[in-house]
Amino acid sequence: MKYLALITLFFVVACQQPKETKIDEDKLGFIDADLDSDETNFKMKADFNVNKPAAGNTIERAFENAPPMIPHTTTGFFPIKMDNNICLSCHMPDKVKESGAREISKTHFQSWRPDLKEEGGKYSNPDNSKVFVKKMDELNNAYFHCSQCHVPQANVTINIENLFTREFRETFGIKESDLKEKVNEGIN
Amino acid sequence: MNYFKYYKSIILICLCSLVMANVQAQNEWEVTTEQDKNLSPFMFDDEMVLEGKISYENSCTSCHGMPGQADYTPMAPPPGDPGSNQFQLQNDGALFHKIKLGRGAMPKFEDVFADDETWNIIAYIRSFNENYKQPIPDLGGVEIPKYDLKLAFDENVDKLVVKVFSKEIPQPEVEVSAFVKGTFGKLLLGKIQTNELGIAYLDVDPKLPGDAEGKLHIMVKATKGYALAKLNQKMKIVQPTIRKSAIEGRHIWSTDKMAPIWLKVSFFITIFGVWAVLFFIVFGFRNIKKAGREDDVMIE
Amino acid sequence: MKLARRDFLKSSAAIAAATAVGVAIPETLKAEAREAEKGWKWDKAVCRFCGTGCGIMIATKDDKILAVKGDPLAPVNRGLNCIKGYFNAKIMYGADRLKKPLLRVDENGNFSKQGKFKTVSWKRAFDEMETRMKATMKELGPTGIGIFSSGQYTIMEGYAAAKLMKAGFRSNNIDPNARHCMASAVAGFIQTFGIDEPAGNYDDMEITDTVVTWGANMAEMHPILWSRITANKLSHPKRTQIVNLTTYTNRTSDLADIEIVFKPNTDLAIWNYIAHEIVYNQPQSIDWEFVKKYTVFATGFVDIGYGMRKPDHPKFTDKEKEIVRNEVAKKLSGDEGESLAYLGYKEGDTLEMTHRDKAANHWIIGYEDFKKALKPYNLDFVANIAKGDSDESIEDFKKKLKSLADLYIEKGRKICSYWTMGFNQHTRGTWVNEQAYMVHLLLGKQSKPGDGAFSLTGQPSACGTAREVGTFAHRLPADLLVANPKHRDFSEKIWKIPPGTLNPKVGSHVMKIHRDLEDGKIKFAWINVCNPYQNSANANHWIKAARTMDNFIVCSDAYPGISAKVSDLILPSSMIYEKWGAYGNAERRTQHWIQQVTPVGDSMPDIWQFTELAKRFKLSEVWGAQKIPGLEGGLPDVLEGAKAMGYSPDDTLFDVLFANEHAKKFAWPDPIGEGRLNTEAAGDKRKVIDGQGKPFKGYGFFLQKYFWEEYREFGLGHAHDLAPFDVYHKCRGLKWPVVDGKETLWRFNSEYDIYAKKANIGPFAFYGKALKNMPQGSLSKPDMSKPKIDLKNKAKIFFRPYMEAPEIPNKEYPFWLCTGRVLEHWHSGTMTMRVPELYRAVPEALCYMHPKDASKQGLVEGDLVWIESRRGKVKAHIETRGRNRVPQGLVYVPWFDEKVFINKLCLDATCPISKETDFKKCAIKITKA
Repeated sequence: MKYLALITLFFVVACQQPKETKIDEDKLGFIDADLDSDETNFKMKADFNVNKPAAGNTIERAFENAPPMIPHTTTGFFPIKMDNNICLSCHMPDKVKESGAREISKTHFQSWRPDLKEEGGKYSNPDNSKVFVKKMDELNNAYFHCSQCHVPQANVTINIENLFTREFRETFGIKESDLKEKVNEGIN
Repeated sequence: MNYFKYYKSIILICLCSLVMANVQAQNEWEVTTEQDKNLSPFMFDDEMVLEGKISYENSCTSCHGMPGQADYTPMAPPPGDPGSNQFQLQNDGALFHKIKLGRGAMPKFEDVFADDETWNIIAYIRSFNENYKQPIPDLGGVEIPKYDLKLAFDENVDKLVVKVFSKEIPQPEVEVSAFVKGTFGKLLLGKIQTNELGIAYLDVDPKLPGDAEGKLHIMVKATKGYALAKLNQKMKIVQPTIRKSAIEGRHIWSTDKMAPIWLKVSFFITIFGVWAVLFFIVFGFRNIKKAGREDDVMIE
Repeated sequence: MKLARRDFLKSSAAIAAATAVGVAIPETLKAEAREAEKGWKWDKAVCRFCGTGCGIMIATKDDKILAVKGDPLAPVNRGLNCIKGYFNAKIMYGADRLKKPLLRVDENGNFSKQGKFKTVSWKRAFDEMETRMKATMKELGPTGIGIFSSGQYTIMEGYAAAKLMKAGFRSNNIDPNARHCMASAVAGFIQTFGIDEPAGNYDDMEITDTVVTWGANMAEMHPILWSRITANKLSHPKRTQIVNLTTYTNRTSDLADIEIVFKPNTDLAIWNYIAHEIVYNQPQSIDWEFVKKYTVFATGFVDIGYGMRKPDHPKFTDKEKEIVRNEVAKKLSGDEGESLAYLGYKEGDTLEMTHRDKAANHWIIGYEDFKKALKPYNLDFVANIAKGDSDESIEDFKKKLKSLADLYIEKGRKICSYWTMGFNQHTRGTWVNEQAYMVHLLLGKQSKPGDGAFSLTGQPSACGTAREVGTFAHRLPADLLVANPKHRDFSEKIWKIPPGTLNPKVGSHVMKIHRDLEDGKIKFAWINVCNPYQNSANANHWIKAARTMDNFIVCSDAYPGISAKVSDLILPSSMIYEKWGAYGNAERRTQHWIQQVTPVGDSMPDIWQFTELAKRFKLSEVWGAQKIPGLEGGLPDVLEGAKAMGYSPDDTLFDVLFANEHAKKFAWPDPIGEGRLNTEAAGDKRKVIDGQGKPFKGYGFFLQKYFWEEYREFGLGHAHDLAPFDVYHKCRGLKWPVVDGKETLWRFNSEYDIYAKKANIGPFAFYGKALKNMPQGSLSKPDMSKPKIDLKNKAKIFFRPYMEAPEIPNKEYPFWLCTGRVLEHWHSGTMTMRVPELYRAVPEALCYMHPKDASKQGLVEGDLVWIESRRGKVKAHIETRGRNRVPQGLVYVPWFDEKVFINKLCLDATCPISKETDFKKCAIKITKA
């Protein structure tokens, strides 16, 4: 018994690995760009989704009321030009029935921006104590440039993790934005 | 008239004159005075002889054989032995132009050999003549610049930087060629002219294998007109090649120091144990035998 | 209404059941369910990214951020954000977030530059910093240390850093990354107006009739401002005109009426063409009343070099010397021969750069001289040198230039010019900024609603922190200067430090800090909230200096970027919503926010890092006599003065600068922060082991408010007025000067600006005080025999000629390289590359190339190529049909990607006046990899 104990003790001590690990500078983070060499391990150029727009194809929102990402290809649709915004031809409310696309959020058809006060050529700030809402019949032109919030997603293997917690308060209807109702939350 | 018995002599005379004519013709391969005066801009040195030897053996041996051994191919007219007086008494310029322009069965080599390569061959041929003294060209007072070469490696853009100076003044438009010398030959990095600052840049692939310190053996040659300079230098350019032992990491009980202590100890204990058991058994036999004899003794 | 748990379950269940069946649910029931799921707390904050300064609302629960939405009350963006703004929610949660200090050590645990990183305690980290700093200051004095400060610091952090560095260590080697961003704009402001920052505000975008973007891709870089302009344009399609002047077609061009693609650097010529049109062809459009009363004409030297080091500097490689020799003498090209003819030069002349040290000098000239200098800039000349797209006909280009000039000149047409990096990152950046004001001032279209030249800011607080707090090598808070003895006295009084403490010699700007590190003149550098080893041009030099020379580099960052990898000590820092802070955006709007969540791991706010370090320096160690190279007599010993003020030589800098009597009056808890987190004041639940080895429980007083209120004292009454701390927490920011609680909409305009009204000389007054006593002279040089003129309340109209960039494409390097950003990523990508949606949107930096250029070299889209300049090379995939459609002969590469480290290639030439690097112009070649 004593010998067994001694032997196990011997093995335990002998197998001790040094605890302190040193980190190489190139392994500090997930982006492993080697500073010393000009060679970077490139794979092929990332290719974007080539799927044509199809009904029912959606990417889940990143968090509550986040702008949804574009699940279909944008080749031929971007860049958005002043006289030619192809996104609108499928996503506008009057076109959705035909195209089967997801309808543009109702928040894009109103404005939270009050006009500047003007008296005799002198401008001043409007009252800002509560949220101003102006309903518009057409698309609020400030939302014309879709690609500043909505972007396509490439097929890449992400080796960069993000530990953001996804939590939605409403488990139903989250496929639609309820920002229009919720926008006043937290406004003091 | 009985001409019949003369036909042999007639044929003989004809053949002889043919041969004489050929020999004459051969002797008549003259070059122009201008060409004859041409002299090598380079002083023949051992390196030129060596280079010339390689070129000669590749291109000339097939007809001319080895110089000095008169083992040339029998042709009409005969190519001749370059080590013989027939060649050695000619001027450098004559030899140069004859190699360049060729005649008859001898091809013209001006598209095969660059000028300096042709002079290499002539240097080789002259090396068989102990009495040969290389005439020095008269440059009409123009001094051949003596080039100093400086090499550096620009690691930002992976380029070999060759600076050509003469008496501290940078030399533009000098033809620079650079090689990496390996075990079995040379890798050409490039041939380029120096710019107005006297600097030539040549791309080096940083993935070339170097020696244990990451050094490459660089050879650079700079020439312009009569001026020539060469430089050999070992430069640290690439990553060191680490030669690993072939058995490293393969056997846990090799000379590899990586074997953990517990393994070494248990291994030796096991070996000892096994031997101990073996000895025990052997001695056991002896004891049995002894016991048997004792028994015998006892019984008696 | 309040719901009991049973009710909630019932209604929740009912709703769930209803949904499953597909029944419509009455709104009231939904609302009840939402009410019950409390725990989500929304609060206002500011976006982390660009200079637009949008307001956002952040939702937190259980000490985690769960969502972001646009703030509908924020006047800047009114509920709309761009994609980066929305993903503010995720930027703090990258998995490789730095959590503990890391030090390079050898086997024995001692610091070694060749060692690998090992986790150490904060105490050990500060010990090492203290040892290194003291050793460096002993060897080299205060000029041996440097801080890479930032335009992304909060205002309080910037103030603490400036105070510690200038008042504590007496060093002026603190310079922000805003030097790479706004320095030319600042120099333009100070030279023209005598005071920094734009006159107008964002409301101009709704009021104006014309928007001209010069070298600014507003659609991608200031998206919310662009959406405001788009709304204006689409609501008045005929009246509102948008012109985009750019070196390559981009998304801004897609929404513009006129797109002018010009050759790099010819923006100088185009402005002069517009001025030529005004002065020669339509002189009736000059607002003479305005010009005579409020402006003078001025010009300066042209032989000022390009901000590079002299060619004999030992660290230059031979390849670099081909370009650097232009720093001392340049052979003039044909175009320059014409543009500099007014000084007597012609094509082929060698321009000796004799006035490299006097680049900012300028003097007053008369209108006749001004007119004479503009003579060569007629339409033919300018169109020929400026046309950038070889596929465009010269006639079309000329028509466009003429339309542009006509838009400026048109009487009654309001016009705003916007620019960002295209102008600022320019070897003549200060000149081109001045030219923008030149045209607007000539026409009298400045400082009026809808009329004005507006310099857009790139970073979220380059205005609020870097410029206003003065974390620059030559500045003190509120536009004061270290070189001015009156300004130093004023600062010393507010900081309650003895007279003579502050160092009068201008310190090293960012490029100079890098160069000094390479020369061994600086041996300690601290990086705060920036990535100088990725964002500085000619990066190979600086990385080699940091890694191989004897120095100590400390990096305070949240993520391991290139600067962290190059450093010797890495300090984990809290990110934006993990601390109290304030930013000031491009329209002078200062916005505050409150700490939302506890910082991650052991990371601590930058303010805490300054204060803990300050605890280790006694007055006797820093306030004795100090040697300063270039300053005769050095810095005086001020310990006697300190004793007279009641300090003891054993007091630490912490006691004197940060935890003094005045500071402790700001108690914590404070009503404004009732029930809120405040790590610096009260510690937090992590109880991080601090620099003394004890769990940190907070300093016990409201440090951030103290900084704010002390900082305010600099600007009050000097046209930099800020409101009290509490006010900002009750509104969505205010545009300074805030006088009597009212913000200032348009500066220099007596109707809106109290300071202009006080000057009482008419409807305008350019009351800035700097550089307002100038000599007179001719076009070529000042005439010191004539008396100086007092320019009180006046602005300057500068004449500046066209000059070429120091490195232009040639046979060996046939392409222009332009660098910049893309919409989805911010700066060096340390934050945005760690958000999966943003990463997947643009996973790598591409080399945007013209398809004809690609096919000429046998390349197809997606090929991997080597992009090589005289200074370095990188690999990238090419893109020929991307968002940026470049003209032939130019390529564009964004710099957010560590793997495509494009700054290795860029040339570190700067504007000699502003010292801002020109990242937009250098020559490269492309070969297949």
